[in-house]
Amino acid sequence: MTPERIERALLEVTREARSEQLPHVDWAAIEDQLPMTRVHTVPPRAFNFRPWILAASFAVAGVALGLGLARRQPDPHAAAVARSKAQTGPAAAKPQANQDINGDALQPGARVAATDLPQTVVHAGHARWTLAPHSEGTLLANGDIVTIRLDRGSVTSRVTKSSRTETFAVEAADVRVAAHGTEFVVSLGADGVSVSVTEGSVLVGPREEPSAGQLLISPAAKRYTLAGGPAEDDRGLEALGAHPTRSRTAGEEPAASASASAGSRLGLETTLKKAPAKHVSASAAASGTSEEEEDPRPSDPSPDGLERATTSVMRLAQACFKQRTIAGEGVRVTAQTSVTFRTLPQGGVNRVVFEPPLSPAVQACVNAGQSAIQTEATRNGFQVSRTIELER
Amino acid sequence: MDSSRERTPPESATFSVVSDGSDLVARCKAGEPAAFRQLFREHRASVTRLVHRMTGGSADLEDLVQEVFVQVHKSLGSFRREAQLGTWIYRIAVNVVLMHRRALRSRPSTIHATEDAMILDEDQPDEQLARRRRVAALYRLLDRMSEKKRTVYVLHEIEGLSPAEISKIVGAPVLTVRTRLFYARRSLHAELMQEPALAALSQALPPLSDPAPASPEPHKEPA
Repeated sequence: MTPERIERALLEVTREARSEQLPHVDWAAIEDQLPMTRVHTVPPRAFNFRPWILAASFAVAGVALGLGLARRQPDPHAAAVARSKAQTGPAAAKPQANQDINGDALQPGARVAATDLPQTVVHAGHARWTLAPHSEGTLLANGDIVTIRLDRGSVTSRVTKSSRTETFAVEAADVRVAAHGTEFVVSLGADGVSVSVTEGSVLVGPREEPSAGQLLISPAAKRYTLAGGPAEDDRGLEALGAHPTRSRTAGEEPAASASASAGSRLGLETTLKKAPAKHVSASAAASGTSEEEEDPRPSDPSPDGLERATTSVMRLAQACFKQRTIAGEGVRVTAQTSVTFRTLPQGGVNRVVFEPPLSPAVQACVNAGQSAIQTEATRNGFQVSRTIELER
Repeated sequence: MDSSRERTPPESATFSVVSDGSDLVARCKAGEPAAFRQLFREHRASVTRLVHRMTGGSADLEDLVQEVFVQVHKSLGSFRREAQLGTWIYRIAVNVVLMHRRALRSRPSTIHATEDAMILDEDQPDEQLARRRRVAALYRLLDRMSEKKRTVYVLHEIEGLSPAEISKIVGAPVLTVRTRLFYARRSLHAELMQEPALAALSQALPPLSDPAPASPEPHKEPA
């Protein structure tokens, strides 16, 4: 081949790269994820003479005076910081609701409280946490890992995805909830702590020994005792799909779990969990019958149906891993992970989640292929978790 | 120097400077959310295009674009107007991509996202598929280069930036940029035939009636 042809080929393919169409990008989603487009980043202690800020300041000052605090609060941000440094009295400052607090300006020890409306604290590009009305929290650490303590009530946290495993944690009593890029809610009650994960996964465990915790993968909800152990009255929340911790053995699974047959080459451990039960409709309630009684579908899958669904998902995962993992000649690549999938009531797989996650390319392949999997129709669908080893 | 080989940047590939950014930056620095939203909307297309080309079609495109703007927001305080806002944002984007690629290298296995994206879309017309295979092959060749050479090649040959603009982005003298470009081209020349899709392209090209200079001209590395 002549160098001239090589040069022309290079020019041609470079031109093609230049004119290549960009993939679709969800601008709105990205913009929504940029906290700074919604955050009012007023420096702490800086006075802002806009009329509404002044009005808010007077309101805060009024509340503070009403509570017997002599300290004057210029704006909500400064209020939180000043509060953190003062560390006086048991009552926390009450910043005006709906005004986000710049979390980057807070010092460790800062206490934040929500009044009748939720109160949000934003750590730009990192996380945002929202205290429910009449809730209180304390910032314990600010930096690479933001840690807050929930003193009272409930907090919803949304953590930006990061290549690091842990960037945000909530402590409530002796329970520690560490985030892995996720959205979750922690509620502190008199007799326990509730954790609900709506996106991603969190690690929940005793504050003194976080690594011994339990991994919750969304959607999941679970109750813990104030000491960090699983609560005994957790049956209802357990059914929402809490994922078993890797350290837990099959024998320790609750009664609702069942071991799958050991037929699969890849499966090491399987747990089955029922999907949340449907609510009884108003009409059904009025007639004295529930939807469950009218539904001819079984409440649980048959053992064969369970095994077929599990095998199909695992074959798909194996095929995608083999197809989308590139390795050099003679190089063997293996990965051990836990796969969790949920089925639809009418049959079919709703979502497949790996924890630890596989590469985006493998996940995309699985997402594309899951619609082809048929499963048994059950009343509420079911969820299966299994540890697998993938190999290329 | 290989100045004769420096092609004029294509018109469509220059910075998409919608405004000079002076007022916008000031408003962003003042903490005005609407201003940063405007900055994002003005620069998101050019940043996405650059990230896509720098990564060769990463599945993490959206995350990377988001990370670029997070970094832009964090660094706005240090923007000194020594460069155009677009150039400055490009510099941040390049650094974010390089950090991402370093992180990827520490993983046990490698995935070529461009190839994956192509496989998912195999029902496209043959010619389009062949073109995407060739572009994917080009990105594979670029992947084998050092980051410095690959960066200047993408910025100059694909993004269409001038060596002067690239020197501001990568923080190197113009002469160094030109040198890296020369070696990047030479490396591609040497390895292009290893990619079947590109080898087939070079064979399929019609002969030139008036042959142009063939190989990269001799180049002296500056002392």
